[in-house]
Amino acid sequence: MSRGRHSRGFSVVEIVVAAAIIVSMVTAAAGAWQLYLRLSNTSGRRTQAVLLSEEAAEALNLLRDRSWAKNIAALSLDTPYYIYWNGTTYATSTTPVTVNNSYNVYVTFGALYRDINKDIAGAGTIDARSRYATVTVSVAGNPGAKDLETQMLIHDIFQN
Amino acid sequence: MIYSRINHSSRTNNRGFTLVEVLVYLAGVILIIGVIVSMLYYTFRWYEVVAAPSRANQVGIALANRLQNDIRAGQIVNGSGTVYDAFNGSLSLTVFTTPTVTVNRAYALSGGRVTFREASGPVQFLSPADVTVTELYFSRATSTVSTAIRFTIGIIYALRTSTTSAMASSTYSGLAIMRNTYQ
Repeated sequence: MSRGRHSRGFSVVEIVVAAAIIVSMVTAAAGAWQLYLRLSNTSGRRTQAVLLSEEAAEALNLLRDRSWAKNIAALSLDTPYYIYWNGTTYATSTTPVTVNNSYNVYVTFGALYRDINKDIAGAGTIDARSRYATVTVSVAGNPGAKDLETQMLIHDIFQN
Repeated sequence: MIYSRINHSSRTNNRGFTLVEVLVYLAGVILIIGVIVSMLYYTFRWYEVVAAPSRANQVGIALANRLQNDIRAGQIVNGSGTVYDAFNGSLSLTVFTTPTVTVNRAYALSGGRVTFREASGPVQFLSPADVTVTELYFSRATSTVSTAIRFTIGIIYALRTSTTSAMASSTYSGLAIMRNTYQ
């Protein structure tokens, strides 16, 4: 009698519990998949951003090699300058330039201060032959959405 | 009496399956296998979509790093073997491998793959056969005190989804100043 009743099929409670387990597992798997897609996309953008910021840092050195006075010292402090390859040379512009279809690369120069011993300090006299340069790679058209930000020092070593 | 009933019942059970039962069973098995195979198929398709861009990234980054290192270590750019400002450009460098020893290293594009040759050694492929490099573009940027080479690597890959098949591309660019050109 007892065996016969068990073999008749599933009760509503059993079906509901089984369905709940299956649905929660599928939901968890879908969530994990979404996370994987998002992380994969982020890491792709980040690797591209690293290359672009390295290129911009090297381009700043090249601009410095050409002429510190014209290419670095002439630019205003604390103002973003978009840095790009115009087909024949590197140039800076205050209006946004999109590179590689979906990035903006800009550099912001900051003053470098030296203390009485000529050491770099938070305050003191401004060193006219040095700058802090912050290179930022951001989503094109959205300077606030930063992919990467790196800082470097640049000096007028050739006195040009 | 009891014995004979059991015996009878057991004999009935051992008669085997009818043709209809076997057909229904086979249909069920085929259906389940079909569902599993189609699930695997779509999973692989999805994986391809996700994996292709990151694979292109790996190839692009590896090539960019290698070019950057060799250009930085470069002493001079050799005129023969170097083609600037072309989508299938090439670059031949005399590179310092130690502070006193130099060697010729040449990069080119052949059949969608980046090739590398050191001195008169064998031509090696730097990019895998299943990744197509469509662009290897070199440009020269100079100043009075230094020479720099800019490069752009373009990689194209298939991005198939369940309904569409499209090609996508990624561009990797870099700049390296030849450190030995500084006076």
